[in-house]
Amino acid sequence: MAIVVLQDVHKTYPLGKTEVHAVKGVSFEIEEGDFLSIVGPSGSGKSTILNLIGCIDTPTSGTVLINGQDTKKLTDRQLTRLRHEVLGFVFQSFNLIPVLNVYENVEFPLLLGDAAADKSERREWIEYLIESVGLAEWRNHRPNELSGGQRQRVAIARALVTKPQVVLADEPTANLDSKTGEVIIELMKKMNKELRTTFVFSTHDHDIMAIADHIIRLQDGRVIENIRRSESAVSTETS
Amino acid sequence: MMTTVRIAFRNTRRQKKRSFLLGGAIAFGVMMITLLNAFTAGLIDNVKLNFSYIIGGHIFITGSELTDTGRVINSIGDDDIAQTALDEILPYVQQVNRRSSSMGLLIFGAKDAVQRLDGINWEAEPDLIKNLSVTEGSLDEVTDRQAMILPQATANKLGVAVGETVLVKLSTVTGQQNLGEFRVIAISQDQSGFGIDSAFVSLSYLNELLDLEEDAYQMLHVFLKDMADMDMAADIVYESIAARAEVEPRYSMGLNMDRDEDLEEAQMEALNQLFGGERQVVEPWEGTKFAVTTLNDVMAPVMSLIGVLNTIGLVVFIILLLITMVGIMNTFRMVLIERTQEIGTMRAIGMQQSAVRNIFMLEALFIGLGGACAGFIMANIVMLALSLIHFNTDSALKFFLYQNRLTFRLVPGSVALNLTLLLVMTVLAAYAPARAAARLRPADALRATY
Ligand SMILES: Nc1ncnc2c1ncn2[C@@H]1O[C@H](COP(=O)(O)OP(=O)(O)O)[C@@H](O)[C@H]1O
Ligand SMILES: [Mg+2]
Repeated sequence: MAIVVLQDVHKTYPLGKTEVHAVKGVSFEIEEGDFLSIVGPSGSGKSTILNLIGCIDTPTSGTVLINGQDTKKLTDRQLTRLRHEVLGFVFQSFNLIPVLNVYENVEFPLLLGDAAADKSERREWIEYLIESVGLAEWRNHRPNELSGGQRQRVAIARALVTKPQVVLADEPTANLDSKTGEVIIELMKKMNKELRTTFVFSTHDHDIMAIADHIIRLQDGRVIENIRRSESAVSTETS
Repeated sequence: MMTTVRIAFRNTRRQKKRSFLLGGAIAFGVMMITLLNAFTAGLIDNVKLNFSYIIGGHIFITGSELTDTGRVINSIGDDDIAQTALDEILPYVQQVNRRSSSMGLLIFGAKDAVQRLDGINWEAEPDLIKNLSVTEGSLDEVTDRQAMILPQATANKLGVAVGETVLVKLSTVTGQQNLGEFRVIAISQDQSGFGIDSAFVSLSYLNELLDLEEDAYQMLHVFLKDMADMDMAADIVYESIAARAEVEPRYSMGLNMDRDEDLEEAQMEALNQLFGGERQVVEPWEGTKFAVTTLNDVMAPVMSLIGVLNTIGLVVFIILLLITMVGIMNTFRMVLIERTQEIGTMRAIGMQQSAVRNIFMLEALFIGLGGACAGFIMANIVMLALSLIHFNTDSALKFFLYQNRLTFRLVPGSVALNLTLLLVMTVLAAYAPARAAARLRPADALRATY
């Protein structure tokens, strides 16, 4: 079963007296375990689509289903819960909490929930993630003491800490040099294989999109290509 | 919840200078209001204490009798009624003094002055000797029958010195003119500053001049163990006397919100009886008519003055808080803008709106608390420093001092009120920006680049 389903999704933003039609009737599905790259030039609607999947925004029309739930029908509280329990986020500019150190940043999403989980188990899991992203020696440092690549590693660990089904990453490599960017995507791929977590990331870098198994190509708010690498092209739409 | 508290607490230290300025403004306000409240509380304590020595007690029972000729005599003819009343408050009483007093015309050479004379049983009132401050002469011969301790102002007016003799013209209780002779053994410092200081003489000699029995008296002065019991004890005494004899209505400032004129007149009468003012017979009565007055009654004008002072202080404090509130509101609006992306991040990760709001309000609360603590500590340091100063004054200022030092007393009620006021206003000030922060749409907040 598809974990994310978009059906004829439109999104318009008000812009002064006119409107910007950012997404124009997009439909696609994301399967569990996918390592999906959404690619397209700047302004093609990548962020908008990731926001819609990430439940931090709702479509103007059409439906976004997460685990079969229509996000348009949920209250802010329920959407927040859904984001907390099902989704993880990695941002272009890392967006770590500056007053918290590496360990606390990774732990942070866990503290937002009901958090009845066993303390030592939780601790082990956080340490495991920090170890996995290669920051064991930096666990007590604050974000401003880390390099960009290191910060993005923290963000990946933070996104995974709640054991989400889908991690969404909007241009996670845009603020990194290409070498570091590639390492970050490889790290995401490693976590995708290890934890069976679905990853969706957007990019306009060709080297980086090459690592994905599934690529959705956008142009001007429309899907122009939808390719599954492993089983060759699943479908190709041209508009 | 702990996460919210921790983040809020750490956020206070992100812009140290800003938090410091806000906290500092709050600390200043708290310091000033705490100082003022403690200062006035200490002042009242001292004034009451000093006053109680000057007028010789906390509760006063006076009596007046009506002669056949329609004259009013100040005298307690029925000691039993007063004594029964006193027995009822026995556990609270430290000492009871029985005094007589009269207004008299003091004559020295060609000069004269009107002066109130208090007849004292010196053996029964050793504390008075201790608390009198004498500028000239000494109290060694105080038990001499014709000894007189004269207030400075009157001594100056008469030009009399220690060791010299003054003549006193006064009326007996029955209205006969009488003449006495006193030797000034000491001159006392004017303590009240209100011109009501008494000249102290011996009770038995004054009684003789007033044509009272040697052991008679006109006024019962009651010292209590604890001044705080004053009004309660006075009420008991009043009820007891009222059950057995005529008594003037109690003079009670606070309780009569709707004052009627008869009552006010009667209360003036009670005060007149205490200070020997002009008397008017409104309605005739039989036997002794009592009046019960307390130090609090006498102090009422001073207290209301200090009450006004405290109210002004509170108003200034609130104005200061309002200014601080504007500061807090503006600061948190700025914080909101600075941290928009961070708020978006936290909301995306799964933080509920209420938690975002709480982080803001808690941060304000912490700044308020920090400022309050600092202000409170500073106030205590200043109080300590000021109470170390020894004022070598002989003026009326002494009346406000305790053993020549200012004293401060923290009133828990005022401290609690000020603190509550402060914290409520701080949190209120942060509420609007906090709510705005909570209501930011996550997608918009994340797009923000400041
Ligand atoms: N909040 C917004 N308000 C107005 N216009 C927006 C907003 N967000 C995005 N857009 C516009 O929508 C289009 C798609 O933007 P976006 O989804 O950010 O594209 P991408 O991430 O691919 O660069 C662009 O033209 C952009 O200017
Ligand atoms: Mg974008």
